[in-house]
Amino acid sequence: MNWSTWSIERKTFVGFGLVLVLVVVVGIIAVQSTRQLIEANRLVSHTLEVIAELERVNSTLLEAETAQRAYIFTEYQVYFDAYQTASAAAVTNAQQLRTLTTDNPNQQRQMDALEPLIAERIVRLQTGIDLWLSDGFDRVRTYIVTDGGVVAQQISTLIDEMQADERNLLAQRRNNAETTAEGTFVAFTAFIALTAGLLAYMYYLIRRDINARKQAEIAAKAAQDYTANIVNTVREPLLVLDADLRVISANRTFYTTFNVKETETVSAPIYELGNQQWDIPALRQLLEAILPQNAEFNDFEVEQDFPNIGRRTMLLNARKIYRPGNHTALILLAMENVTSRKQAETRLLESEEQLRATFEQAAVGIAHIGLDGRWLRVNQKLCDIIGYTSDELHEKTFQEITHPDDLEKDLTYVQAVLAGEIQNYSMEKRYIHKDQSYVWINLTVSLVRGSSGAPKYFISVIEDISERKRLEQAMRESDEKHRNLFETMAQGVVYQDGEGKITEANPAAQRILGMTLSQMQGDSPTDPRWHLIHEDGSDYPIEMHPTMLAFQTGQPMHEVVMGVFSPQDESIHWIEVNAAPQFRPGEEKPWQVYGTFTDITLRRQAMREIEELNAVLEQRAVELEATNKELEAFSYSVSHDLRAPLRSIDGFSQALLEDYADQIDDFGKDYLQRVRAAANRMAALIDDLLNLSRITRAEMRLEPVDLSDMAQSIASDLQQQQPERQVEFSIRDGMIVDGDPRLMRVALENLIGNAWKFTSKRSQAHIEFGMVDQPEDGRVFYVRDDGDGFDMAYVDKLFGAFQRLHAITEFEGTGIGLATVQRVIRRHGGNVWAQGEIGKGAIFFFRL
Amino acid sequence: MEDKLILLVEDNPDDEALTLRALKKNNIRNDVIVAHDGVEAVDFLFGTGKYEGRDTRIMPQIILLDLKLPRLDGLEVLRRLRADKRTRLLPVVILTSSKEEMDLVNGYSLGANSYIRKPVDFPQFSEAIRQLGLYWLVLNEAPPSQD
Repeated sequence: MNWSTWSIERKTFVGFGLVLVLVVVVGIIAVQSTRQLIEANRLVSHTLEVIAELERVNSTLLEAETAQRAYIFTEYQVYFDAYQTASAAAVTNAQQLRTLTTDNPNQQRQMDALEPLIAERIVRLQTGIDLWLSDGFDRVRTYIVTDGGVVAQQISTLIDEMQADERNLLAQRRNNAETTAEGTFVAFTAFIALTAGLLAYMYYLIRRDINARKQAEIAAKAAQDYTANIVNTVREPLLVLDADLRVISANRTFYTTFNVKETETVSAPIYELGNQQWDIPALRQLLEAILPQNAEFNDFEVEQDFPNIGRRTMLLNARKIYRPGNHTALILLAMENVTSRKQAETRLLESEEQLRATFEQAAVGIAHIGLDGRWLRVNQKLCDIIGYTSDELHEKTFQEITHPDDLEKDLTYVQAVLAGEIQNYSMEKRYIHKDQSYVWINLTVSLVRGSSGAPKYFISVIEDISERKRLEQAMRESDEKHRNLFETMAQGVVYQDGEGKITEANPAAQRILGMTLSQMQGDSPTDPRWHLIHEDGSDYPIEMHPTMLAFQTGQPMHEVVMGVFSPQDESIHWIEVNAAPQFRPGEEKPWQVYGTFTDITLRRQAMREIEELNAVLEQRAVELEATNKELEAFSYSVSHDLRAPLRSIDGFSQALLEDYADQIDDFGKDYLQRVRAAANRMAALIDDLLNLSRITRAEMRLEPVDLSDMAQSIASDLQQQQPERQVEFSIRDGMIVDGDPRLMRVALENLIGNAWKFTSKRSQAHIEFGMVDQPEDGRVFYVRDDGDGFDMAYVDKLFGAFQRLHAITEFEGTGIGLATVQRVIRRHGGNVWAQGEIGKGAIFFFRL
Repeated sequence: MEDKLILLVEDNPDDEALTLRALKKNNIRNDVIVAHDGVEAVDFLFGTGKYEGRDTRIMPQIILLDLKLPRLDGLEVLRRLRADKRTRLLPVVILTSSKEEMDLVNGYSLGANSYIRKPVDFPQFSEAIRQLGLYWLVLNEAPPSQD
């Protein structure tokens, strides 16, 4: 424990405590001493009182004796009264003396001796009076002389003794009182000295403390002014709030920052400031926790629209502080206006984001390339262009993926940039794509140097120009094609510029017009006989030429026919002219007109010939129609009239056979049967021929025909007609063609009918109608049977009319069926052919 | 049965003979009126010309009509029949040699009830006549007579 470190309060407390204890101790001692002194003095005065009382007793006795003697001698009553008063007083005094000495047993005992003596003495005095009265004076004198002295002597002795004792006691008590008074004095002196000393010391201490306080107050005032200055100088708005979150004070910055006045701020609750902009639940929670929980917070961000100043972002710090003096807890709320910092940060972020986005999402490839050619950073577009991922590229250099033919040029540029000869360069070159193809790109490179000027890395911008290269190539080819076409085309083409001057004319134009380009341009003389004519032979003025008109009117001219008289061969070339004006956007006058010239001399001749031929053809068609009509009439007549006799032949042969059977022998009957058979075959022939002719003449109506359905129906007809036959049909489904349904049915009936017929000798036959789809031939349909077949040697005869490969006795038939099939198929624009082998069956193909 | 007349319009005597033979062979015993050309047929039906005064209430049960006829051809006869209310419902079977499409179309267009091509083969012809007789004379109900 070190005194010097104690606080003034503590020092004062302890100092005053000590002083108090000392004063009490010394005070008690002083009181004790005083009390002893009073006692001692009381004892002294008691002793003096006792002595005086003893004296009074003695003197009253003497008075009583004196008065008695005086009475006796004078007989004056006055002495007797005095005698009586004195003797009563002696007794009273003796009693008082006893009372006084009650504290002293020794004197009480002496009193015990004294009081009877006093009583004795008074009795003797009385006795003297009585004797006087009774015996007269002599007697009394004797009596007084003989007896009176003894008792008085005893009393006097005793009183003397008592007085001596008292005087001893007095001396003793006086001595004692003196000693006590001395102690008391010492005690008081000490008390006063000590008290004075302590008070002096306390005064010193307090004085020192007061001085210190004064110093402190001055320092505090200075500090307060200093703080106020700082607070007002601080660029952060500050608010001091009380426990109710009312504003106690605000600094200047607060007012300037928020553009508010002190009157509207101080003593307002913070939540009502600035249009309740501070009334934010999260902020409330924080602020309201500060005092109760001794909390604080830092950097609470508030972004609000404040009146007068607009949107601001503030960082808030708050902590508890104490008001100086009365120690009230307050809240210091410091704000940092980070609006512009925030905006700057946002702008920086946006700017960085923009840069990053620009880099990443640029429509061109962008790369940072190390001085050694290594890809340091690449964007996605570049990866897309050359097919590598950015990770793969980081392992590579640009040299590795540059086309060998382009590398040297690139490296030369790089050296030049590094040497500072040029700032940047641009070149078109090829990269080797990951798939090993070449990609044409346009490369722009610049060098980034450090602050010291040392090269750091290259920035390359890479644009995929393969499409442009392709277009350029295509355009070159197109130009070339156009040029070739222009040079070699049979049609003449002439371009005229906005002044009407001919700028270009292709060889065909020069040939058709019979002029050279320089003649057309007026640079060379033209034969004056050269001129243009209308179709009727009249002159065609050059001002009316379609290209001139197109120029003037802005309208295209089409198929204008004119003749060019060419003096070279003195003939007229007929030409057809088209003229088209061409406009640039926003211009009303054509900047160019091009005319095309087609030499139609030959065409005109050909047309004339065609017209003549057409006339002939028309004549022929009329004739042909007449012939057809005749043929039709003929067919009609045949169909009616040629059959009737046959019917008679057959009918009456049969009548003979029926009615005259008994008169005709078997030979005759056989002959009649042969007549009938011949008549019937003739009828069949006529029918088939008519059919064939009808098929040739019939009008075609093309529509979708389901051959599969049609074949099914034909097959079931055949099976119905000859139910005893065992024939298995396989007909492919869904074979649909565009054809004439009636004609197609005739063809199929013949083909399937043939197959049916030529398998008639098989107990089990198989007929197939199918299709093969061949890439070169298209759909080929076929009917196949496993019947008797035919010899391929005669395949040529198969489709001729009336051609038969089998004897009539073997298979019936007229030999017209396949000819009919061929007609039908050919009328459909197709063809038909067959394969066969004797005994193995036949297959008939057709294609439409 | 005898009431039911058959009108056979046929110019060819051979065909006439063969038709009558076929009818007989098939026991069709109805009266047969034979008209040898179109005019005769029309005259019979309307009671004109050669048949002036005929009781035209008696109409044939069936008309067997050839197409190629002298003077008035079969199709013209058919047209006239169908144009007259007395005969327009009469059953007409075209019985002819041809099967030209033109004839078929015209015949049916003009209202023929049936079209039969005479087969060259007599047994087939006879069979056709038999079926024809059976159908038109026996099975078929004639339209009510018209006045």
